Amino acid sequence: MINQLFAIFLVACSTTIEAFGQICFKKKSTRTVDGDLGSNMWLAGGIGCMIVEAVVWNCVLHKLNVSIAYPMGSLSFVMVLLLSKLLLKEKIQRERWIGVVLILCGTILLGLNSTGPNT
Amino acid sequence: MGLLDKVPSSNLYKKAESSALFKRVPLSICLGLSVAIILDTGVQIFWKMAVDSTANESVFGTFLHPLFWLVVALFLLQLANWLKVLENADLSYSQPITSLSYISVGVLSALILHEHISIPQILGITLVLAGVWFISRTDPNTVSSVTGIDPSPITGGGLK
Repeated sequence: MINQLFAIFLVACSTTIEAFGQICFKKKSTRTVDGDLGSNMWLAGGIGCMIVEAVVWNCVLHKLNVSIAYPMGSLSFVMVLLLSKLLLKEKIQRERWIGVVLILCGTILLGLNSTGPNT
Repeated sequence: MGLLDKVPSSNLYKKAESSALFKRVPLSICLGLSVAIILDTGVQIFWKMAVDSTANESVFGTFLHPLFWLVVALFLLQLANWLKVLENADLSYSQPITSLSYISVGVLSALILHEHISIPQILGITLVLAGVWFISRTDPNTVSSVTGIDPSPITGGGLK
């Protein structure tokens, strides 16, 4: 039980780290007034987030079955939407929220059956 | 009679756009997202295979497996492609669309393991598809770009 809760905590960490990494990548790809791409520091930040996430995610895969872990990882879509709005000032139209909620429900259903929980 | 003449042509275009089932997405974004989904599928499947074949070793045993290095190579390709996609499109637009890889991963694993796809899974696939459809209805780029290209000439949604 404690082990499962810890795995869920790890999933939450991993989705948050991923969302921050994505923000870094977007910052890198956004052109400045001069038409230049963003600083390589953003790229480094994004890759750093990915590496930390890879280690955390590897721990998750060792504790949880991928059919449970993968849909939970889709919570990162919600995190990305929130952070895009807050940090990138992207306009999140209603359709985007509806879309992400549908995707979330869909991924949960996709993970429901397949093989039972990994012990 | 004269009503139609007063409607600016851009509005007519907008109307035609919104009534179509699928919104036109620029080719570069469409291609970039397709490549991203294919690479994502590869990364997920090979990563899980690497984890499975090192299940009895420590967490770090996975990192020494050859399959894991294939994952790293795919991941680098994925990164280069993804930065290109984000040059043209919003993060909150592109990232949820890559959820289509959940479907490809699910279908491919079922094929590899010779499993049947169950009713809940078909429902799940439908929901993900519907979600991506909703997102594809929005403008790919809502942040007014400084490169001089109007991000959304059709609806003007990108203008502040």
